[in-house]
Amino acid sequence: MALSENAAETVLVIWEDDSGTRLWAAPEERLSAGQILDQNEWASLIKPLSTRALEWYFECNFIGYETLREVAEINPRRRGGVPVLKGTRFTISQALAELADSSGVNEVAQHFDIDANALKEMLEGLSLVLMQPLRK
Amino acid sequence: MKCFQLDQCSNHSGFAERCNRQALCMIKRLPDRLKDRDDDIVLTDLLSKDAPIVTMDFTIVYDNPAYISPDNPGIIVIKARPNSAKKMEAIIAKFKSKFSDWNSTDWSNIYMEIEETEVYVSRLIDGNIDSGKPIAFDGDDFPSRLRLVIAEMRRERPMLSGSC
Repeated sequence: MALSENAAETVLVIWEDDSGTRLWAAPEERLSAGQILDQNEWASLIKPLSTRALEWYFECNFIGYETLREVAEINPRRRGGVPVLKGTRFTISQALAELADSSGVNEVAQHFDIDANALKEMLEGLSLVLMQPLRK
Repeated sequence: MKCFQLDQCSNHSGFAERCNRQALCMIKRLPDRLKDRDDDIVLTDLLSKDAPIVTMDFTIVYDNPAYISPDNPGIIVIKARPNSAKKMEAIIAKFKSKFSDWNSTDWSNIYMEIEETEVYVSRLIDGNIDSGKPIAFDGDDFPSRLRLVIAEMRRERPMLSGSC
């Protein structure tokens, strides 16, 4: 078993077991890309969840990251590299704060003249990224 | 009338309208031509004008020292937590209540951070803003202490007019 090449970025792992089944799973501990684990080590790092649950979690996680990649970006020349809505200077952090302080997406979009769909996709992406068990 | 310029993060239409309705200053929203542009372009443009920039981007100077012109209208950073326009407006309202000279003060070449309980004031002639002074809101002498600090900084370097 080995972490995928993008593991450091995505925290996704490919597991090939005896039957050849490939599972996506996230370790409970941060691992290095390319790190090789034997089955016992690997088993000690993941939560005891069913295959179907793991697949669901990581499918959602993967889609969440892909959604965020579509709608957010990090550009050192904009807001010093704080993550912003793609193509804007409006930070994800502020978008969340504004949403908490408003009646919703449309109000924030209107007041700051930004794309409401971008805000919705950002929330969907974050929702999916956070839909997985995390260590206490 | 004193003008203040909003950055994109502080560019809330309702905030600008409420301020302008008070008619104690003029709030300029970020021009469309600067919307979503890189930091250096926005800073170079806005710092060439007369209106102090009001922003929540608390690393704007640290991130762009090369674009801080030696004669500038000043930068006022609102350190809101969370960083929403509503919180920013509340902090600004508190500052205005504590410092009635806010709209007659010359903020040129001044960098000021406003927090819940204090301000931090420094000269702004380059990217170095670490030699400033914090001044707490508490105490009746807050306005005089702030005026004194700004006057000291002004003696070190003449300022711009800063009017509309």
